[in-house]
Amino acid sequence: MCSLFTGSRAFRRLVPRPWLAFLLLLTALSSQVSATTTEARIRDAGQLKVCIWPDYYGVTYRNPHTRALSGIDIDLSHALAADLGVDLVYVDSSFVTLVDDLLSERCEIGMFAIGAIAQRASQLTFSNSYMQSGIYAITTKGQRQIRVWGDIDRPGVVVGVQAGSFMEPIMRDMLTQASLVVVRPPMNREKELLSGRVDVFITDYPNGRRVLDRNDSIRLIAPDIHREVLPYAYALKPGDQSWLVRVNQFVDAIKRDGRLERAAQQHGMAPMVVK
Amino acid sequence: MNRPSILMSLAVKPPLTRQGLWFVTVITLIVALSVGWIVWYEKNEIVSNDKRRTELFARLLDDHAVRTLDVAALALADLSEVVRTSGDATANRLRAPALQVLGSLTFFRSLALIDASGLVLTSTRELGQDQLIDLQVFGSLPINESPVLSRLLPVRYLEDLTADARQIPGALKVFSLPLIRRIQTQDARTFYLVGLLNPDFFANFQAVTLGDTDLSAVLTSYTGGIISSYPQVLALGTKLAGHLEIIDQLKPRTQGTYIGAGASEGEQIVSVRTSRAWPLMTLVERPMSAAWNDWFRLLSWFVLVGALAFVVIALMARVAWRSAQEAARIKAEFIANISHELRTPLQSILGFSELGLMRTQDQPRLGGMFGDIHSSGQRMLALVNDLLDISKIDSTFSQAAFSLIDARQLVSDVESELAPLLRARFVKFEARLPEHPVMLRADALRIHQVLRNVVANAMKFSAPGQKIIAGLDIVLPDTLHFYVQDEGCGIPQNELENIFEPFVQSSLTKDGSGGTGLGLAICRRIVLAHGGDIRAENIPTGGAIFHIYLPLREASLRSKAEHS
Repeated sequence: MCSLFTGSRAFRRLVPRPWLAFLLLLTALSSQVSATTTEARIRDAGQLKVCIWPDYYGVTYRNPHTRALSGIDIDLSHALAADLGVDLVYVDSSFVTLVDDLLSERCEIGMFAIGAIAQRASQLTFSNSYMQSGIYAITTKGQRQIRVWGDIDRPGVVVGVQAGSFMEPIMRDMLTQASLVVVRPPMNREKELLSGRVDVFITDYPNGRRVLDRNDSIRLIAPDIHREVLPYAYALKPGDQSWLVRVNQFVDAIKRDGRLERAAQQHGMAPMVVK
Repeated sequence: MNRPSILMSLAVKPPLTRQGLWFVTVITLIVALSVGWIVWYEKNEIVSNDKRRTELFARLLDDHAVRTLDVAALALADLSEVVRTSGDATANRLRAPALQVLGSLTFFRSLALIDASGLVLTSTRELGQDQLIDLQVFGSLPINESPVLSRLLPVRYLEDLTADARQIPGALKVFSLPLIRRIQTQDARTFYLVGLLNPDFFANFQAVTLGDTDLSAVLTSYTGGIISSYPQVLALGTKLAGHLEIIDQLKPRTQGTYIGAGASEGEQIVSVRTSRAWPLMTLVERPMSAAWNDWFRLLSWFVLVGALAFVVIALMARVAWRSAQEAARIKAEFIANISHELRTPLQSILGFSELGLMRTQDQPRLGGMFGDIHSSGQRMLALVNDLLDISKIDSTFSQAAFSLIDARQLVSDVESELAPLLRARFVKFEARLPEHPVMLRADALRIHQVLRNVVANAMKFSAPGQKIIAGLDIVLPDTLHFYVQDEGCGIPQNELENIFEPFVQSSLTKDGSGGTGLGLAICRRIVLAHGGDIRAENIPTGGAIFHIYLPLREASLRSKAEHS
């Protein structure tokens, strides 16, 4: 191959020898990168496949009536595809199927405010966090005995948490006088609250926003200080450091240039933004 | 002579500036009254709107409570069928549909089936089964298939009834509203299906419906037991103070709105509804003080608008007054200038016509022509002089020197001045003067001019042999009255006022008896400038009389000050 290029005098005259060597090296490297990295694969395909959970209100929500997607990560996934210069394709996923979807390369990135909990971190790689949420209490407007966070842990109060959520162990440790009820399907936290079987339920900010927007009789109570904070980040398939670096570059960029702040403002997630 | 009526009319007739002041005052009063009326109207509107609003909310909340209980009763009826058809397997077969009801109807906190002895056969609560409940806690139990709404229980679930009843200090107070349905099976066994409703469900709806308004709502039983309230925190289960009086307000109707005592302290605008289907009473009220606050807020705006209107009126009046003054000044200046310009060529006309008259004594025809030119010139000069005079009164009277004079002397002077003319016309003159001096502070020359004009006027209408009487007296402590009476033909009734207008002559003198039409107008202006009045009237026995009223001493000074 070398002789083919270097054998021609005319070519040697056209391209000096050191430059020729550099070009050859570059060609070899680029062919190797395109064969292995996720980013190169995305560029080759001309499209970025993003896993979303279409029921995540305010984050990646598909309106059941119009089928239109909206939410902070819909805006930010568009921004990522634009930065990469490729088209965007959404792949429906969920917290249950996310690991499989990423490992089987059905999508290159999970973008739906995924809580970076240890269980997931053992199977996936997380980018730098771009949002975070503490825990919030939801009660009804008719319940006037619980007004502030301090009113929750007192005798007679029944606190609900979703089974398996990260709030369950936190609340179990936190409550000393109030009793804890773990809500399991088919019952849900909202109905338990409205029927008066629980007096408050504990949730994260995005779910709290969803419930507030859906029901006018609901009230949100924030703790004075968020002691338990869960970071939210983008999930990637492990093993591709260059893709992780590229995604982290994107996360840093949206924090810096205000795109994250704007998207969060637009979808009511401003209190969650990591500065 | 009807002297009192003339004096009265003199007293009420305001000068020109006073008319403007009256006009402004009337407009101001109209604005003030309009603002006052709107404010009063708005007060009634606010109260009436509040009544309509509380009625609307009471209807909404009552309807919601009734529908909720209707749906709850329907769910109990469906579950009753399961009990009726299940025989001994009731306990096992009821739980699943009961849980289903619980999942779909969020106002149910729990459901339980109890036998006639109070034993809980099955419950949506795992803990609650096989417990023995004292049925007395529900108060009255249903006697047929109609469901009964029991009194509010201070527990979250039925099993709490059997627990230690001691209330831990600071503990959350939780209540349940039991809805009970009696079930009679075919083998004559009696069961009670008890659905515990969450009273906060009603409070939540009250909160959503009332929102951020300053209305408050209370749902009670017929006996006044509080079931839910918003936003005021009333102790659930206790009786609403004064509920009997509220019920009395309604009788015999089931709904009503009144101003008086309600659930909250102080006077309220209250709307009450009692439900026919369920033993419930819904109150929606708004503090009367809030309605007053609304009114005061509105009032402040109206006061502001009214004040602005007053300021605008005052400014407009000032601008109008200034404009009128300026227009009058320009008019007087114009007349003075034009009069002066007319007089100069008139001197030549008069001079040369007089010269022509003298030189053509031997040519009667030509002399007659010069005579016509001369007499026409004389009339024109008189007109120009009068015009100049009237403009001077308008523009310079404020500078006239007022002095203390004996009014009798003025009449005597006029008599002396006009004596030759009177003699020439064979008209007699009689001066009726008091014995003592009557001192008047006025511009002597101008008052003399007024008297001379009026006497000359009387002379013009007097036939030879007739008499003119001129005199003076004091009609009020501070008013001097000159009068000049003749025995002529009088003045047509409809012209008695017009003759004082400039360039208006009596129809009896329009044939060219020599007047310019300005003499009496000049008189009126001079008299008005002194703060007095001049008017004419006919004498029933024939002839006319002119009355001139002038204020004495201080009144004259005041008048001068006003005009300056």
